[in-house]
Amino acid sequence: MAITKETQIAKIEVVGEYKAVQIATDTVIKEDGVELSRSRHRKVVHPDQDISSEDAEVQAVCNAVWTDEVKASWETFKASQSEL
Amino acid sequence: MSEIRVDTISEKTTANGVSIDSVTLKDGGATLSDNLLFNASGKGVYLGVTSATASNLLDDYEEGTWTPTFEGFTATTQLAQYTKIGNIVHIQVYISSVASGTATSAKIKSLPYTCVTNGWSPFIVQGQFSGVGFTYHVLGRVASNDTELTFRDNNDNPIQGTNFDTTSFALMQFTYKTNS
Repeated sequence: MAITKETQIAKIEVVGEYKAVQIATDTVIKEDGVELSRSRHRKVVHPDQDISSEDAEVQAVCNAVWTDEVKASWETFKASQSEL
Repeated sequence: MSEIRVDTISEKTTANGVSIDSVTLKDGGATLSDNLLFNASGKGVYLGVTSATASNLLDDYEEGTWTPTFEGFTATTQLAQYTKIGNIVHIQVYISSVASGTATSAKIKSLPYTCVTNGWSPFIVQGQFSGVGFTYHVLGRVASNDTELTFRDNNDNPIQGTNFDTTSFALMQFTYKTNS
């Protein structure tokens, strides 16, 4: 009887004008290869964040959608919100 | 034989309906003895209408955890959970060992979904704070288009990290809209 634990990226979604990347990661517990439980963890990364520790698949999506224009737009938006 | 084609299947015994595997059709309704599972993602149920109307489609439900990050102060996360129903995200957070931080706006970041544009969502925070007018309750607000919240005093001024009592706690539950 072997109990295993693995993580799987369930979803990568690009959301909104500033291309926020939403990542859903599932933790799957299996017994002899049969799934016993699955729980979900979420996070969101924005164009000004360091993504070097993210999964390669996430990095690829971020690098594809975070153009210089998007990064500049996000930076301008964040600056405009600082006084609110 | 793998396929039967007929126009109508009727119940043999009145009031029993017709059962196929675990699905029973009876007098215009359906009874399932197991969960309903679609064979494609993003599918849902139109509620309260007789035609496909986008505003009546419930096509997303999810529950899970997230990992808060802190700006202006430090804390230990005891609980950070979310439930998403349609475009509504409900959050529960309990942080402890809150330590007074820097003289900058105190924020909790890394919410699990992005808030919609102009979707500012205010809520009440229970905790221990100093120099902000009232000690045990302050306001929180989810930021538009972002995944962070700021703490506010009763004059709507941002609360700074230095306003947290050291070795304190904060309890929050709030709801905001997302476009994902």
